[in-house]
Amino acid sequence: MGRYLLKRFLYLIPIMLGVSIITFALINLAPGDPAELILQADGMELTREAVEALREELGLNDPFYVRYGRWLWNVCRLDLGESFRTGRPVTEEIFYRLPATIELTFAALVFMVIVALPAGILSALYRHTLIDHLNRLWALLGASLPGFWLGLMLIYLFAVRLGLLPVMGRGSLHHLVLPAVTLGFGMAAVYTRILRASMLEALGQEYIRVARAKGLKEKWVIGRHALKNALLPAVTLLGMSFGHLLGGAAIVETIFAWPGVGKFAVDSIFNRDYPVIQGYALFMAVVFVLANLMVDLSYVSLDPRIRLERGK
Amino acid sequence: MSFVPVLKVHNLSTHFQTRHGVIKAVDGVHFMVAAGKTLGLVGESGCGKSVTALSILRLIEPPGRICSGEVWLNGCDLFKLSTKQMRQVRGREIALVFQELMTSLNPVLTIGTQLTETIFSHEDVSQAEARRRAAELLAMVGIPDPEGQMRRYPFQLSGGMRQRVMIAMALSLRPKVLIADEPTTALDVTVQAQILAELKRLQEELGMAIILITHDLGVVAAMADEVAVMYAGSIVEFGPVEKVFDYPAHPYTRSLLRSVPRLSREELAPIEGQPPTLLNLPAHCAFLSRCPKAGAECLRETPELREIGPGHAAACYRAFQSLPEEARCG
Amino acid sequence: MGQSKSPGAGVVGYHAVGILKKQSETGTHGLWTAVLGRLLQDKLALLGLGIILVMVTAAVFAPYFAPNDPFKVDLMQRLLPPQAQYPLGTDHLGRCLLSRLFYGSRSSLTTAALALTAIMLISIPFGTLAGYCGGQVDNILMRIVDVLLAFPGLVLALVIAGILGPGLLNVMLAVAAVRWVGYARVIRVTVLSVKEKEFVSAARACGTSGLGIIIRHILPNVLSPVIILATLDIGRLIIAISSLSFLGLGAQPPVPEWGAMLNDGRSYMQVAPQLMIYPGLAIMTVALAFNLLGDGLRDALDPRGTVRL
Repeated sequence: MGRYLLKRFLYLIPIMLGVSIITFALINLAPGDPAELILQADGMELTREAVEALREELGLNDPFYVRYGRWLWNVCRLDLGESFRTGRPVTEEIFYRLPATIELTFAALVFMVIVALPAGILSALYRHTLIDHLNRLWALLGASLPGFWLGLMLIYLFAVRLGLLPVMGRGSLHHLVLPAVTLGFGMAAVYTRILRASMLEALGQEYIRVARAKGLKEKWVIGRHALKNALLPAVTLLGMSFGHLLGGAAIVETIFAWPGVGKFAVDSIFNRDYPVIQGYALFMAVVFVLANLMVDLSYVSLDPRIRLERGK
Repeated sequence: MSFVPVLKVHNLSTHFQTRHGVIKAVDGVHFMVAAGKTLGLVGESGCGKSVTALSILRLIEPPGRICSGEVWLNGCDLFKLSTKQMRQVRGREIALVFQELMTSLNPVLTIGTQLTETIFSHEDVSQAEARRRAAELLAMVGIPDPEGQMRRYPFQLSGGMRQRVMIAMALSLRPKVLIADEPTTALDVTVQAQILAELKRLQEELGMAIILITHDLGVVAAMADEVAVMYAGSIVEFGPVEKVFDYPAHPYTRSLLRSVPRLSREELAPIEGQPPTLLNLPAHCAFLSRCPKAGAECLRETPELREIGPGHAAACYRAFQSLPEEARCG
Repeated sequence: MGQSKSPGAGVVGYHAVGILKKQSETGTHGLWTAVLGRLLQDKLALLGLGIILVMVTAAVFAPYFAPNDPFKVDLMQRLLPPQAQYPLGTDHLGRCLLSRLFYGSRSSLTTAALALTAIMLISIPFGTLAGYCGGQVDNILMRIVDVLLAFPGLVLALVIAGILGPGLLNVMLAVAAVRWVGYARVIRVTVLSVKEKEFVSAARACGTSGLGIIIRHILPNVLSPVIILATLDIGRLIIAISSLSFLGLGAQPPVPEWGAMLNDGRSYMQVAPQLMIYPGLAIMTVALAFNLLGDGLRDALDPRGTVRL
């Protein structure tokens, strides 16, 4: 167990290094000269001398690895530069908005579990019945439904037409409902199918027959013997899905004016606020990697084969 | 010696509905087994042995269906019980030992959990009491350090140990009938002998009836009191083990016995031809196409079991002629 | 660190393994004949195929189908409800919604096709190289893949598109830059399994060069799972591209694009809900059609689920 953990942590080092290189290199994709941009943002005149002086001052004339090293050193001290737009440190801006994004993502995850778990199990238990067919239809729709459109339709239906729920911003639990449903809907459909498949797989195993032959209650056979095994493949995919949710959050936050990191990043994109965009990419990667780590650890605790074999 | 049947299977038929037609996996099977006795159920793989076992416990899943028959356990027809009552029969009255496959034990639950849950689901006992009894069971089937083993997971045990756990699990409520489906097939010979000896000892201790399902005639010879030979979903020969082995009446039984290696005889005779597909069985004897003794009368309807000696019956028109003088009845 | 357990094994990868297994059992040619046969029996897949054909026709012949000029602004005819002249009404600039939907199908389908082409162009050489060379080359290439997978996909696409600046081409590039990774992994696994086959050893024994083996023996085997992957994925590609367009990063006015049209229409939700209903419906229908076809293809490749006992 300990060795597995250690290995898992060590593996993060080259990955995070790679992530930082990509994040840093991305900014070079930007059209135009950053020095010119800064001067423009400050309303200064664009003379050749001024640009050159600023380039020198910012170290833009240094070779790539020097610039990267300097940037990485700053990043390690949690210094991602300042936002062109607000003038405040990027780290501060992101940390300030991160809780809102995490809240939204987790709410979506919870919605997903609440819907997908029973739907997947029922679909497997009542295979080829009406419930199963409805679930298949829903899964197909869920996979084909653009999240942003669903968000707009929900706003139209619940807020504009019925006036039941608030549309914009963050606050009470009511504010959370529509964004969370929008974000989690497609994922819930996907997981219903995954759980159905893994549940069917588990139910077809010999140990289920053994459990029934022992005279265990059907509830116990399904809830304990089948479900515990069926959850394993779903849990492995959960990490990846967290990434989908983080990405989708940017769109959902924009639609619902949810004051999270995603909306902030989208706003920054239109203001060409590169330090913020860069910081956003890096932060999301870190959150994603950490979420995956958590998922892996929970997987290990669920599956004794990994816990005991790899841990020796 | 009194013969008190504990379990009577009467005219059991289990069919599977498939896209290609109906598969008659079990078709009109009768047998009974007495307390403290062992019935060997033998046949090639796919002849319906395991489906018979599952049918007795009503564990057949769609597309399979028990079409007809009665299973009497001490004067109570299991097929008439409610789902709930049936659940209480499973494990407590009739227990099933499956062939040990890697997947027969749940990979994510400890041995202890899988043992105690059986006890919990039938009896109102405390956690400590259930664990104590589970440990006792493990010791009974010859597992060293039962307390330690209970904390382990199936993948940490050897095949032989897992099979012993399966047996311990089946015995945990001292069932009246134990159905053992290929209990030793996956094991090597020494372990096999140990486990069979263990089973025999436990049978005497608990007075269980055992239905031993196997394709291994050696195991039957060592364990069984009576033997039923199954072919294509039906029982083709039935009788006391020594009668059937010494004077096999059905051509299939004879072929089966000839295909087993023995020290006394060098030549092995494999059974010619393929086992029939259970789909669209012919109206005549299912063994006809492989039968060395078939005659014109065999093309008539499927022969029924007829008594040919004391407690010895065979489903073959020519069975009588093939028996030696001293084994004939009357 | 033999097995790389990187974040996001990908649903795509999940399916592909099954496809590979199936494929290694049957020959490539016989497989496709059988698949086609099964596909023709799958009514939902045929429905998907039908919708796709209709959509493609609509895109190609948009000028013939469109009742009006999709670019003609008429401020006197703003936000009209559906009527004879404008079957689905008009948008905030008085342009015919139906005509714009027809032309919009061009943007959506072509960008998705281009993105797919770009994905293939990167992932096939990359995955083949990693799988065929193995060893250190494979190790380094796969670490690159792991690093890219450490970013949430849409976040990276958003950031790349954002840095490149608005434009349909940039959005397409951004999506392709993120998506190719999953394909590369699948291709690598396929190549790894094909490489071990007898016919490859035989070819090598005959003195065929490495490149010859790759082109003649390995690539044909790679193509079939990739085609299925692409069919399953194209719906998601269309949605991803239109999502970025919806944010304003994709098609720029006045080019009609479904995602962008939705974004335009959302402000008029109360007065003219059709402006946001129909473009979304169009995106969903295309995505659904490709998903139906993809599902059918996958089912056809895995008949295990249908044959029982």
